[in-house]
Amino acid sequence: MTVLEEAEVEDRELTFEEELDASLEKVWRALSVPELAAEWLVAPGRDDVSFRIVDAEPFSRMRYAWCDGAGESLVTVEIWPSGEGRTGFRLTHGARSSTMMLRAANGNSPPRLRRAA
Amino acid sequence: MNESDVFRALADPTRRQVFERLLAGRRNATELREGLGVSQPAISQHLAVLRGANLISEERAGRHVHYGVNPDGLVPLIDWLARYRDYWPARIDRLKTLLGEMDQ
Repeated sequence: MTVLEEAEVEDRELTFEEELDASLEKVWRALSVPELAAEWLVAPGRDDVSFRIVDAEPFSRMRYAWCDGAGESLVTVEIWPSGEGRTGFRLTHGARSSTMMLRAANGNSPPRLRRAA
Repeated sequence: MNESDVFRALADPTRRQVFERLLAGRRNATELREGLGVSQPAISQHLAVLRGANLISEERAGRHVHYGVNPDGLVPLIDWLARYRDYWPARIDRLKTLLGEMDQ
């Protein structure tokens, strides 16, 4: 392995927690309908980023495999009811547990979701 | 130059090979092309992309041009998680706006 192919990354996670002014059902739609999810998950102009849903617990938790030019990581979104018409929201983005490989976008994976052009 | 230029630059396998060769030391374009099976214009294009991403620098001495790695260019690559610290708050703001735009 060259230094380029293997960058040791400690187990690290980013967590963001919010309360959203929207119903649980509406928030779930924004997480699960592909066009809606791509609209907010992927920043404009970031055509190096793609994601796919790997796990879904309706109205509770969504997991996306997140792929940028540096490799694949995991984005988890948890939601819960939080009072009248409000929804608790927690997004966690975790690195791979040991090494992060720099690769070209994989050829064999299922189709990935990208932001609409 | 922004971070996605760096990732995009290294997503191409040929460019990655070129960059890895430069990690071993300064080279000229002919040396970089050797054994890669790409044309001269193609190598020039790859080098231009790597320079645009601030990953390599060019040194001219008369007619001779050498390329070398720019060590600072690797910093965003290695610290990608720190960059996502800035990325997600804006995305969550976008989600809030989107939720406001969606009907039930």
